[in-house]
Amino acid sequence: MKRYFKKCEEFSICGAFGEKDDILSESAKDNVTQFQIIVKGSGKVARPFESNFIELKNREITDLRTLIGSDRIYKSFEDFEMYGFNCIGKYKPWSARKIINSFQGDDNSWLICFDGRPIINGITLEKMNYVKLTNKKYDVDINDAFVGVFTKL
Amino acid sequence: MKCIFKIEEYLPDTNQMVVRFARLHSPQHIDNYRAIAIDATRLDYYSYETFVKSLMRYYGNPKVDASELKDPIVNDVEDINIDGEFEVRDLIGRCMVCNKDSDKELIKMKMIEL
Repeated sequence: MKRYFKKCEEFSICGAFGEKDDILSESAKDNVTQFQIIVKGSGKVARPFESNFIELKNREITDLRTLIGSDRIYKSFEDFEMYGFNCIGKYKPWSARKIINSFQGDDNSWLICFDGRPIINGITLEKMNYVKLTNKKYDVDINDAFVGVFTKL
Repeated sequence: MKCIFKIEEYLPDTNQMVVRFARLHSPQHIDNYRAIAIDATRLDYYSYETFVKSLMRYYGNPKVDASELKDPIVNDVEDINIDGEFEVRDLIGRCMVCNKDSDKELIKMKMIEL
């Protein structure tokens, strides 16, 4: 499994590329991911020794805020490419949504293109481009891309 | 990391030693690092090897780790402006601050404006 990381202006993104049946365990202090973004593959995540788990589905953004402060175990069902969205410093909650249509932006939000080449306000984004949004409308031709918007609450 | 130590005094009456610790590649002479009095009863006198291991485990390692943060910065250093467009020529001749590489790769993200 290969691990990745990037600290951005107001958040950080971690990444993991791996194979089917990989298992990843991380302690609460090392994993503060609020949202898991699955670009490829699927799997599940849970607290150790608990039967409840959260499904991680292909091309979806999954809310993991209930796991903040807990140790975590991940297991993949397929080869995968996944990212985690984290706040910087002390925990502050964010919200997240997957973009499929045009939307209204605001000053507290960031857009990240996780895969594909969407056209937004006439500009073609590349994979892993990100944008500080402002209070205006964003016209989106999603073009089968995988795009998320993350907002400070 | 290679370290160095210098026993300044041995005080058998009180079972203490006065010792200085530093990194082998420290930017200062070891005499510039503060000497500390240690409890010599905790050390392992079986051999030189066990003595040094116990000395470093109980007293040396924390001092050396702390000295890395406290050592004077002898170079005139600058932070890299990560927001700027990358141009390797801008780095030539300058002393830039950076982190030691970790086992995690960097995600090649780029901020754009819409």
